[in-house]
Amino acid sequence: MKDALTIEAPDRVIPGEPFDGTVGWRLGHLPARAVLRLAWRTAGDGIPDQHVVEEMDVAGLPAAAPAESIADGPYRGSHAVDALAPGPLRATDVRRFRLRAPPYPPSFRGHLIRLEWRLELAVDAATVSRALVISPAPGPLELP
Amino acid sequence: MNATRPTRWRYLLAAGLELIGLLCVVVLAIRAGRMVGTLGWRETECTIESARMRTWEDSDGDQQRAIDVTYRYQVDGRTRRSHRYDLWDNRKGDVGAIVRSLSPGAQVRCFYDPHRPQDAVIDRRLDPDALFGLLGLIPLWFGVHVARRTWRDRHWGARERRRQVELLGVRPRRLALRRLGATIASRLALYGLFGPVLLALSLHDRGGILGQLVRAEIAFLPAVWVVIVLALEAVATALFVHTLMRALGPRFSLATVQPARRGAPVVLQWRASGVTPSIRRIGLELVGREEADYERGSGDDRETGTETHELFRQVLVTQSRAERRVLSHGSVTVEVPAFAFSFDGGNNRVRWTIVLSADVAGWADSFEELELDIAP
Repeated sequence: MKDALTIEAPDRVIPGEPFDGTVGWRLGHLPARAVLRLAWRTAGDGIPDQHVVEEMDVAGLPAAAPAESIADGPYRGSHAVDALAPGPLRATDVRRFRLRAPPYPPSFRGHLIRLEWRLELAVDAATVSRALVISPAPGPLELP
Repeated sequence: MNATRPTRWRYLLAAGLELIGLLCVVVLAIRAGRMVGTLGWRETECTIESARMRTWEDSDGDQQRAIDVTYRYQVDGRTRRSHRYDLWDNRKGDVGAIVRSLSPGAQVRCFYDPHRPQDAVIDRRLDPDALFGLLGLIPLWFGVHVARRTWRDRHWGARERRRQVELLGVRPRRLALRRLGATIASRLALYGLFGPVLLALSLHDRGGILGQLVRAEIAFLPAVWVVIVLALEAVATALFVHTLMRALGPRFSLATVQPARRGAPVVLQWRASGVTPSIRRIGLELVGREEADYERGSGDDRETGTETHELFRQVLVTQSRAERRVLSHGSVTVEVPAFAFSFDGGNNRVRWTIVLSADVAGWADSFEELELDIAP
């Protein structure tokens, strides 16, 4: 079974503003560790720079669909369950996250340098990333 | 993504280069020090008793020549004798020409140590060959560069973490401008040492090596070397004088009243301090640049450098003598463009600078670049 990882998040976020999204996966086994990272990197004529601004353990995130989580649990119906409480990682899982877009640096495109933000989900050895624009303008800031 | 982390062997290479360079410079310093030590010696008249050229073959079979001289001089009524022609090993300059000038019975000036009158020398000037030690500056510079580059590459992660503190806005932005470039003090020390200090030693005593050159007392190849050395010392001296004038002359400080922000006006103030001769004209410009450090090729063909692209330039102020009262201090409102922001990722930067140029009458002109930190 092929690993399928997904990140759902807005395409563009205003610097300093919070934003929500979900991460999910469908695996053939129980994952040992899942991590969500918010990072930027540069591209263009120079030696690339990159920096991970935030890294969070997905196991500590609430399930995106609490009802489904409870129905699947081994102790379903035996006692009360906090539907929003984080639970252990499952082979097929969807978690909600909330992040605040850093105020700096914005996504930009210049003559020599491009700066791109991305969300990266790593579940064991599998990874997937999603581009994200963090900018006060509708798109990346364009340098003349 | 950074290039492969360099190994510690590069530190060893850097240390080796620095050691070679330091050895050459230390040898030069010792020779110069020996010459400086004779500045307090007393001058007197000596009578040449005998002078001849001594020749021999070294272990490689090359013919070597030295001055074999004996002369006498009087100190406190007592006659003393010496065989030293120079401070080194009696092999300075054109040995044949020197021997011909030292005919028996000739009166020449010589110098003796007042505390040890038996120590005397005819020529106490700097040996032009000793100045070859200056070539040691080349491996020394390379060594420092390799060590600096290696340290930078190995500690990149730490630099990034520090930068992140800035990215999150923790760093106070009260003073949004900082000075670029080397400090005036370090330039003064560097130019001063290799300019006026070395030039003074080279010209000491009857024009020093320049006097010997003019009087044709040096062979052809050493003479070429002397010309090169004197030219380099003259350039370093000129740079020293210019830097000194810059240090004494009008120094400008700039500050923003409030943090500079993208798309918002900011008030920029300037003030000249120090000895301020007449300023004829002052100009301020806002300049934005992209800078990208690149590394191309591999192995010995690896090429590193920085590409720059100027994306914005705007004249903020141009004032001439007609507005003399406002030349030494003033303020201007800068409209920061909507696309302007500062960024420093390590290898890639977007920098905004205030370029200040001042035309000063009869003095070194002032040119300064100060970085303006623009928040997004």
